[in-house]
Amino acid sequence: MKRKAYLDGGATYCSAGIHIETIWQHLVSGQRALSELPCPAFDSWPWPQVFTVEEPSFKTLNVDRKLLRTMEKQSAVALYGATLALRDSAVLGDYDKSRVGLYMGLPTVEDPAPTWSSLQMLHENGGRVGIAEACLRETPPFFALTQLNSSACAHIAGTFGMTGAMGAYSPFSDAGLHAVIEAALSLHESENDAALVGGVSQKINPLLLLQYEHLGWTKDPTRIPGEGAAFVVLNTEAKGTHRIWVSGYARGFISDDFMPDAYAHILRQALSMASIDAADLDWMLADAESAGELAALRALYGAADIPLGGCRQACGVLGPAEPIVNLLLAEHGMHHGKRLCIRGADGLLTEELQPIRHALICTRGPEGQYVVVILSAELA
Amino acid sequence: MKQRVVVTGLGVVSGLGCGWEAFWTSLLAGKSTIRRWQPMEADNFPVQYAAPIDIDTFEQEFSAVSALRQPMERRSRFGLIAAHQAVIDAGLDIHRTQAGVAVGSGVPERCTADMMLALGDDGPAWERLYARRDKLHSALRHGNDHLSALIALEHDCRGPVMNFSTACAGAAHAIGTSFRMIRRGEIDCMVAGGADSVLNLLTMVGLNLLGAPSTSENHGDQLCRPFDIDRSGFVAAEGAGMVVLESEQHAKRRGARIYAEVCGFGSSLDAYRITAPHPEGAGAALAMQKALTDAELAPQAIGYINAHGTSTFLNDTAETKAIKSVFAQDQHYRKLVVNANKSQIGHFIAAAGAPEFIATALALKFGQVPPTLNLHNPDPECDLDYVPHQSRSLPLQTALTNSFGFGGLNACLALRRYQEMPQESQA
Repeated sequence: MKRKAYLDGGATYCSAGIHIETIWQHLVSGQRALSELPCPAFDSWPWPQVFTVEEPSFKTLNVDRKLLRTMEKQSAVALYGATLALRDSAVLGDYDKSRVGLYMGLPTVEDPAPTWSSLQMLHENGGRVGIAEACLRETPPFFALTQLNSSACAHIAGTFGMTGAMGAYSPFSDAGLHAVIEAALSLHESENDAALVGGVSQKINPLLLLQYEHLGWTKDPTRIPGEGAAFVVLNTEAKGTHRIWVSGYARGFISDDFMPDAYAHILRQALSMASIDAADLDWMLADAESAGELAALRALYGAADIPLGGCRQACGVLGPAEPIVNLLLAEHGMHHGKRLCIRGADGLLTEELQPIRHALICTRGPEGQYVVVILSAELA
Repeated sequence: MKQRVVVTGLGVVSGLGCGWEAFWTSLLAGKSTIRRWQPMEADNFPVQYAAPIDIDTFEQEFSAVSALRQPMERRSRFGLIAAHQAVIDAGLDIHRTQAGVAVGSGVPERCTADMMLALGDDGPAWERLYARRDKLHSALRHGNDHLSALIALEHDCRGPVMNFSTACAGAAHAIGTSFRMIRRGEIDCMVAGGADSVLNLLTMVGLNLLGAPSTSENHGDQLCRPFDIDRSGFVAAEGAGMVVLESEQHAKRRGARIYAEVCGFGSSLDAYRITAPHPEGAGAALAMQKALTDAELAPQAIGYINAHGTSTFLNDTAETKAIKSVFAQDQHYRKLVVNANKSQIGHFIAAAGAPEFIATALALKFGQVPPTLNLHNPDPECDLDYVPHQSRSLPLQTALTNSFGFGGLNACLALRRYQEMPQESQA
């Protein structure tokens, strides 16, 4: 790798808070900022409480009120996350904005179409209004833009003015790590000097249940849906006392969940790029839902008890934002010489003091996309 | 060492037919697939013309594609067929290759009948929709990455599988990212492209409310008129384009036919407005400059640009300004030929970059540029050589193909006529 992609700050906007330290504390204490379902609940919905965030207002976002009509909740949450990440960052001032990129992991927008009000109109008019007429009357004017998940990128670029190389990937957790990898590569290959990398979750909506059931997620009561965004700034210049950079990555497709060899192959590729052995890994942050993945991690590490952690217990299932929260947790642990690992059968996380030089962040999309990123630190 | 990246397989599903030969022959012959169209739920819909595909006429030819037996969105059907064609066309035994998949996709298709399942005597109810979920037709159960995963499963691809969401630049981003992955040696082979279908009531209602598609009836099936003063909006289409990209080394080792070389990719953001492109085409120009830099090409090396050319008032003037700014030196823009395939096949939205990439590769291979149809009264602000009405034979060496998405998400790919390098210059 030619130029390194250093981590230069970041932010989250999750139910646990906007500071990574707060999320860390929630994970340590087992605290969960759950709330009622933010949409009409119905009997089949399996999670009585979920991890939600408030939709940021135009004042919070510091944008024209009219602009909010062109974004729905997850786009507004993404813009707020980007605002928090760039609040203390100098990259937009340090570089020509055509050399600052934007890379995003985006969910699809799940909204009823026809809108609920179109259905209500059809019901109230008892067949006197056709479906096309109801849709034309009851669909909001910017519906096409709000349904387009990539509008989130346009809003962030429009607000902060970056015009550099970009990419957006969707719709599940792997998309978040693809964004990290492509952003880091854009720095390595001198396409950008810095990049804002983000992921945002789906907004919680009754329609999600259809997808979650199809994916088999409704059978797992711990898989509580969450809302939120996470952003990290990548910079070709290291800032601060600790230099933390993206040192390796790998990605592949594993169609069968229980294929430890396939996982191991991809994990080894990432380790090789980072020029380290599995034993050098001080922390592994994964959703680790696959038995195959867990087996591969244990086999590579050479122990059954591996330093495995992740943000899900405090944030819920965050889709593309989840691996980026994990990346920020890894960065935090590297800065403070600590990690959070599952050590007991209860699955709870324990804080351990430990210098973290290399951390592995991995995720598997529900269709089989497996993506791995390694962070390395030069500790002061 | 950077790998050279070549195009070895092509697959297209469009209103012009199935397969690249039918697509290319029809493009050169100046055929158009735009015709009168209405969503099936409406009889007086404001948008009157589109470029639909009669999938039933050819789907049975693809019984070998096992994934097609399951219910899925139209765009996924188009994409699976196009990917199958591209892999066959490449003569690639993909099971023996560590291949990946990259697909540009747009807004999931929605079917009115699905949400109507929520309706009952007491109005709409979520519980009712959920109880009737076995009757669902649309993408409500699947993620946007369903097609890319289906292609990977169908062809046993074990490399990276990625789904791109950059609006109308999605397919170009998928192809460009695949090109970079091969060039840097991350992988040998990628199946890349896009598939989309917006020809359903719900998506078209949304697009119509934005004023993006043309609602004019003035020009009938000649409604898509890029760069013409009478243009009135894009004409929506559906379809897919997929290509096989390989490292030159990999392609040559197996004796593959090579259509063209991909040599550069650039992307940018307008950072302007969510509803309009930058009026001077600043973001578009930046994407083209980045593609040229990436390809290590001087602007003077370019002979042909396959334009985004949507037939919208804003895009066509902004794109023309962008081209003129990038190729300003020695007024090179006067020497360029620029065309817009959308005048013939309509706007494939998220997939648009794929058939246009394929047309660009074929233009380089065969030295012919398809026409821009319906350009009878050029907009004075659109004053380039747009190859009006008839295709043209030209000895081409290098070309760009543009894709610009809603909200100013831009992508540009640079291609070169494939020429084998002498052994010593490869070292």
